[in-house]
Order: sequence, then C-alpha cells, then structure tokens
Amino acid sequence: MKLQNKLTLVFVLLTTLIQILEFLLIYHFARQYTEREFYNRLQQRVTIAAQTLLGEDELSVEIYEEIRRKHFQTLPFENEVIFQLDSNNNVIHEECLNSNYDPVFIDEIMNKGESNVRIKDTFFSGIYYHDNQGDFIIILSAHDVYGRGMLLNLRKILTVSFMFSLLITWLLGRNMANQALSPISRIVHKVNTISATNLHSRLEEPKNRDEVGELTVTFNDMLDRLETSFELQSNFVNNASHELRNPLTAILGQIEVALNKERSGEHYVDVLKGIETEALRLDNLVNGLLRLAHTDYENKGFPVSPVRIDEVIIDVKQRLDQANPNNKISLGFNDLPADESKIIVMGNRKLLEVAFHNILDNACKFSNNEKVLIKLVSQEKGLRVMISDDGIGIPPDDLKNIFEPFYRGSNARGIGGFGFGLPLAYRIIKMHHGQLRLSSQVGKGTIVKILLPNQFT
Amino acid sequence: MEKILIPSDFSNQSLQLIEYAVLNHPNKVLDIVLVHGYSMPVNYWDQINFSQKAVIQNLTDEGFMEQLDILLLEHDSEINTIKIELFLGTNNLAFKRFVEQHKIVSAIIPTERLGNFNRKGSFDPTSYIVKCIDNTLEVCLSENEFDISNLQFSISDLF
Repeated sequence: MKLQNKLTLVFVLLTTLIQILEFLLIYHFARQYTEREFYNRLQQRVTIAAQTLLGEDELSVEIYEEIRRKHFQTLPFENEVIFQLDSNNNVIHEECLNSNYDPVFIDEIMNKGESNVRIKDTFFSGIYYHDNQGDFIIILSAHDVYGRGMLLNLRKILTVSFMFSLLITWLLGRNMANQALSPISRIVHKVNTISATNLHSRLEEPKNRDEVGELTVTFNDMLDRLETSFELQSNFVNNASHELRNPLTAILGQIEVALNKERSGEHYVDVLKGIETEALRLDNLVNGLLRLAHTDYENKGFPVSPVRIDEVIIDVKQRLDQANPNNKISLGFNDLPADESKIIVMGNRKLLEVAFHNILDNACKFSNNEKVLIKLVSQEKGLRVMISDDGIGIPPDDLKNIFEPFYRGSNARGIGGFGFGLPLAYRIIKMHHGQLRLSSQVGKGTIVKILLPNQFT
Repeated sequence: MEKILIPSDFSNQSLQLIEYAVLNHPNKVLDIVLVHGYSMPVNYWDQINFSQKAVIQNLTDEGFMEQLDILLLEHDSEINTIKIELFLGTNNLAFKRFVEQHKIVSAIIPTERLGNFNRKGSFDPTSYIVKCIDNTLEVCLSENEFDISNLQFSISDLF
C-alpha cells in the first residue's frame, strides 16, 4: 500500500472513530434528556390526576377546570390506575398490583413517595398520595411517541451527517496526504534523474528547515560525498594506470631500442639493468597496492602483540639511516614516562613500522632532508607521536584528500613517490583505533600527530 | 619571544590552532594567549564576586587542560607559555586595549568559526581579532576532535 493511501486511511479511521464516539454521546444525552422530560410530564399528570380524582371535593371547580385546560391533551396509550391502601399500608387488591407492576417500582413508591420506570416502550410514573379519604398509590403509564420520533429523527440526522463527514474526511485526508508527500515525491523524482553522468546535480533546498528540508540537505550532502568518492575513484584509477604504465613503457622502450639492431654485450647488460630498475619500481608499486588492499579489505587476522612504540620508531630510524644517510631525523624521547607500560600499544609491529616509516620518509622527502623532529609523549590513556618537518607543506585544499590513495598534493609533482605512503599509514593507525591528524602550512612545514590508545585503554 | 593570540572555545579541536602558530613562527619561542569572550555579569552581587580564574575553571575541563600540558611537552622548544584569558569587553576599543595590554603581535584564527561558544556568557572573540589585529592568519582546521576519550581499542577488531 502506498504511503499516501496509508496516511489517508489512518486519518479517516481516526476521524471516524472520534465522530462515532461523538455521535454516540450526543444520542445518549439526547435520549436521557427526552426520557427525563417525559417522566416530568408523567409526574405532573399523575399529580393532577391525584388532585382531580381524589381531591375533587377539596378543590374549587375553577381550579379543576384550569388544571384540565392546561393538560387537555392526553398522551398516547395513557392509563391511570389508583390503588387504595388500608390502615396497615397494605394495598387492597394486592394481587392486581403485583401482577401488573414491578415490585421494585412499587416498593420505591412506598418508600420514597414517587418512582419512575420504563418497560419496553411504556413509561410508568407513580406517587404515594395521602388524602382525607385515605392513602393511595396512583400510577400513570403512557408511550412517548413524540420522544421516540425525535430520537428516530436524530438517529437519521446523525447517520446522514456521519456518511457525509466520512466522505469529506476521506477527500480531505487524501488531499492532505498528497500535499504532505508531494515534496517527497518531487525529491524522489529528482533523485531518480541523478546518475553517474550528472552527479553534480543537486536538489533544490527549501528555505524553511523542516523535516523535508533536512531530508533534502541530507540527500545533497550524500551526493557531495558520492561525487567526491567518484572523483577520487576515478583519480585513483587514472593515477594507478599512469604509474603502472610508466615503468612498462620504459621497459618496452628499452627492449625495442635494444632489438633494433645488433648490440654489444655491455649494451645489453645496460639495457637489462635499466629494465631491472623499472621492474623494481613496478614491483614496489604493486606491493604498495597489495598492502593498501590488505589494510582495506583484510584488516582481520593480523597477529597482535604488545608493541613498544619507542622501539618501533628507533628501528624505523635505523632503517631510514641506511636507506637515506642524509636524513636529519632527531628523536625527542626526553618526556618518556618512567612506567614503560604506558608506551606499549596492542597492535601489529610490522604494520606500525610501515606506518611510521612512510610518515618519516615523507617528512624527509618533502623537506629535502631538512630537520625532522619526532617526539613521543605519554598521556593517561594513550600516547601521542608528533612528527614535524620544515618541508614544502600541503596546500589547504589538498589536506582533505591527502589520505586518498594516489592523491598527491598540488605542490608535490616534482618529488618522487606514488601517493600511497600516507594513505597506508592512515589506514594502519585507524586499524589500531588511533587517530592521525595533519597541520600543514605551505612553505612552512607539516606537523603530523598520531594518537594511539595504550594497552590499558 | 612573540605573543600570539588564539581564539578558543575550550574544545580540543581549537588547540590545533596552536600547532599552526608553531608552524607559522619557525625558529621562535612563542607565548600563546588563548582568548575566550565572556560577558561580565549584569547583577551587582555577581560583579563583585566575579573571578576570571573561577570562570575559566568552570568553562574548561580536565581533558582540555591535559591537552594543553601535552602540547607544551610536544612543543617545549617552540612554546614558552600558554595562558588563558577572558575578554570581557563589548567593543573594538576594549579589544584594542586588551591586545595592547597583553602585547600581542599576531593572531591565528580558524577559517570556519569555532562552534562551542554556547555556554552562558560565552562569545566568540574572532570578529574583534579580525578587526583589531593586522597580522592575523586564517587556517583550516581538521574536522575531527583529537581526543583519546573517543578511542576504544578492541583486540577482537584486529582478528
């Protein structure tokens, strides 16, 4: 069932329920009022009957006539019955009384002086009357034809108005549901027109920030993210293809030149060395891609053990010293805590080494082997590693994409690298439930801060 | 020594501005002044009992103060002091006097305004900084909070 129909149905059901309750109450009170009014009339008539029939000798003719004039009209099926009571307050002809009337009704008359009762369509009203001739019970019964007719009429009016209001409610409910859902229908229609070819399209954001407005903003935010990830994916494929093709082109070029004519043995050795260099570059690239893929999709199954971060950093520095003797990495371990357990992280040593190697290598590379400072500071629940350099920095626009594979800062084109060292380090830190944050100023340098939870966190 | 003014809403994110101060003033030892806008109480009784120290204590939490200490350790050779000051004025003239009084030479502000000035009496003094300090640098902050309390390590996640 469509949401519009559901909303209409719920609206109609609720309104109908309220109306039914309302109409039942109206009918109930109208019926109560009609009965009360009819009993009042019966009471008046029974009093008059008592006064005219029993107190006739004590009333003047004028008064009697006046009473008769006032109540000239007789009620439908009107019947007056008088029972005389003896000196013990027992009804003479009791069998007649008991066979025709409800004993509870009679008891109430005897005890309270008056009573009313309804049996089917007949209304009974009785009073206890004391006169100089003795004590009497006078009972008057009649049918309330007028009241019944009025109630029947009310029932008809209520039924017709109920049917009419049901129709109006359904029409209004449908219209309301339609109006409430039309912005959503518009959004659905617009979103359906957006595909990979026009991801730049956005939904028109309403001025007021109601729920639909928020939905529109959320959709637009999602489209922003989708567009960015599409662009990044596209960049990744382009960059990866480009980086893979370069060494292949170099290899093919060198082979083609070598096969062009007969060459000396030394020349072939040179060509093979060139091919080896390019093949090693290709191997590095593929290995890097594989590592990225591993951290992205298979971040389970790595052996985890307590790792001292200072030891990891020292090992990485030693390796970098061998690979790049000109580096000026200085270690700032002066503030290490006395308790060595505070600098132990639960993690994978090899992966953490890769992460710190990539960050330190980048720091040296992009600062042209200027001074790089690495500091380790412990805090209550974790430890912070700060790596600062005086390198070329990262432009602010590139900062948000710098953790995407193959993304390279706009000012890093002339410097070697594939653009997956920092993304890999970022993923490794994330895998260890850490955080990696960059503060960078073009031409001034970069500060990388890593926050890792220690083994107690 | 160079005094740098930095607006602060006492969030850990705002502390990244200190890193930018360090980056932008290489080979200098800095005195950092973190400024937070605060409206003086209107009530006479509150005014005579007003204490900057108490207000700062009320506005900052232990985590923030710990981060400040760590920043000082990390940048011990670049940062001499980090002070927290409240700006209690309501106009540019008052802010100029505040700048003169603290001998501020430059300021670092975020490109997107800090968002944690919603406590009673607090306000963002960045607009005064822009108007009153010529040597003001705008920098873009990272979106995420750099806070250890956000981190939860689960060994099972690694297996």
